[in-house]
Amino acid sequence: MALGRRGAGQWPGSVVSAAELPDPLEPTESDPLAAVLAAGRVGYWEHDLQTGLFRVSDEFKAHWGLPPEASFTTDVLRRNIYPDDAPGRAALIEQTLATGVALDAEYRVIWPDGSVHWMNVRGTAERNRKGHPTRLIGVSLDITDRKRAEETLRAESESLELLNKIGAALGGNLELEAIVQIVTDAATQLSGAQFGAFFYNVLDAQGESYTLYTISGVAREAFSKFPMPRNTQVFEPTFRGTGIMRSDDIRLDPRYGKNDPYFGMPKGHLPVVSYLAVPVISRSGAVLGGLFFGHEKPGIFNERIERLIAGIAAQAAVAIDNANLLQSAQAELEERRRFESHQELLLAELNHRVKNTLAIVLSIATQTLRNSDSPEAFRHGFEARILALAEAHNLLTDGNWEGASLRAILERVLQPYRGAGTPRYVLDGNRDVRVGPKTAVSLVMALNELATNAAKYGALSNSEGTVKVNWVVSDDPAKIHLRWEEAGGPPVVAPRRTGFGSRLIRALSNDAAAEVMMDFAPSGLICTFDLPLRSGAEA
Amino acid sequence: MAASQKILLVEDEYLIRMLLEDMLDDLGYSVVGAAGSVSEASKLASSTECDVAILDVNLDGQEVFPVADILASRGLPFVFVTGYGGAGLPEQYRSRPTLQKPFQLDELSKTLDAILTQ
Repeated sequence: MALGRRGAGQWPGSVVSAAELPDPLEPTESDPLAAVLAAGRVGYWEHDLQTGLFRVSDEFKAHWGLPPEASFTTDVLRRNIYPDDAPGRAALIEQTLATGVALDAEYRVIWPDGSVHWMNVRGTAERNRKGHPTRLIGVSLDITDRKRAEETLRAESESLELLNKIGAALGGNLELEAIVQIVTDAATQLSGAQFGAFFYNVLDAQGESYTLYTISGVAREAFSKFPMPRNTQVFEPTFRGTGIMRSDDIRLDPRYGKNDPYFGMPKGHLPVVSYLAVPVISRSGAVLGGLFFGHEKPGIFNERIERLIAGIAAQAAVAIDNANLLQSAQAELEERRRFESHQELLLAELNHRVKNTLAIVLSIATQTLRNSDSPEAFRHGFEARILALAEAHNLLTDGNWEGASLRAILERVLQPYRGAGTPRYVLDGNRDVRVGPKTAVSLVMALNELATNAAKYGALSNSEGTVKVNWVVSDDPAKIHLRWEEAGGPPVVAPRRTGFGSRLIRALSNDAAAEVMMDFAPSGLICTFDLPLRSGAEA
Repeated sequence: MAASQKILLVEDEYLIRMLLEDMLDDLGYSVVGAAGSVSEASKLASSTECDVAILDVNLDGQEVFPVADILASRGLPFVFVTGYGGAGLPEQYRSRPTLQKPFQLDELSKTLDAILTQ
């Protein structure tokens, strides 16, 4: 057997045999090794594998938080080693026993006062002639300070990395929703909170402020069933932006549980013990919102975390300010664009109307000239018709140029002939109807011709004649049937030529299709015509 | 003179239509059809025998171009009437004769002459 031929002194790590070693438990003044161990605060230990007994120095005990008079046994070891670290230690010892590799283990131990400390344990296995391990011996160091420093360093560099990521993400983002989500997620991760939320104020289109929120660490449902946080004593410093609020146990805070109706957290609320809330404040001083973090265990948020979150809150404020600026700039641009295109449209429409109106005036002038015997007759006729056109425009302006009601048109045209006492005209229709701008203009002009004629030669030319206007609006076919009937005037004589009014009425009645009747009965003029109605309600 | 040349008249403003009818009458043309809406005018455009059509561009907010398309497909000439100026005509009709409102008898006469003697 190959192992049997080896000498004990040849085993790796086994530089001295146990017999040659002075007893470290009883150091003498002249023992330099013991002095070195003490000076280096190094503990000494040996573990007899046959008996299972430990022999350890006071310094070693001190590393376990134990007094010199305490005894160190396997039981003590099992009880006091940090449970998570026990398997790792055992595996390393197995490896040393099996392969002879030097033992080098780091693990945590729990002191009797509950505090956790780190140890570094190094050692080697001693073996018998057959190569079987008989004893483990080694030294120990308290490395708690080093471990803490390492941890802090790692946490700091992680924080720094995360802060950089947040900065980059925020700098490249001008979408408010994306910004608040990035901030909420990052801050929750960085703070070590179980859950975090960002409540922020936004303005709606009417300029009213309302609150939205993003959450991290829990499903949205965990929040959505609760009302928005109100200005209770706990939330006030955050929403008013007066300062950061950090508590190891919010339930113990004097401001907690002071407000109706819950006096604390609503039933079923996420369990918040550790609490941290940081206001997010705009350059303008306005409070944009607040970052809130919670954990069910006490004492989670320390000063370092508070500083980090305050930094994130500042970055978030800048990003939100920028997003708001961009949004309002965009809104303003959009508004201006809309205004400009609307103005362009208005100008084009105005141009069109003016040109059309000039063409209408030209038409009226031409028509009037054709039927006038003298310059005076032309002047009178032209004036009256231009005034009627102006009346038509007044009516349309009242109706925003979308049309005018038939009754309003008749009232307007006949108004001058109302007279004192009993009106000289009667208007009677089954229902009123709105006519479009073009029909309205021509209808005003046509009715004005009828009224002017009546005033000159017909029922309105004496003191007792009357005009009756009846109309029927029907749906199928959609039309207005209108009847103008004069009575009580002087005997009627048919005119020599087709007048402007009757031509207009013919045009209005849509040419050949419609019936236009002009009956110059001696008792009074009767004029009936149909106005086709478009789209049911409009002519 | 083009004594019996036939005109299709598309204009939604009755008073302007009357003016054009009078002018055309004075110039010796005969108006064989008149319409004031795109649907009415389209019917006339596809059925009426005419020598030239006068088309108001804006018919109560609707553009007259579908009517122009029908006439173009029939090879019938037409002239636009507009209060908007030259802009606003689609590409294929930019080179068509256009009368600006309000118009003069002379201008109408010259434009129609030019089309009909081509």
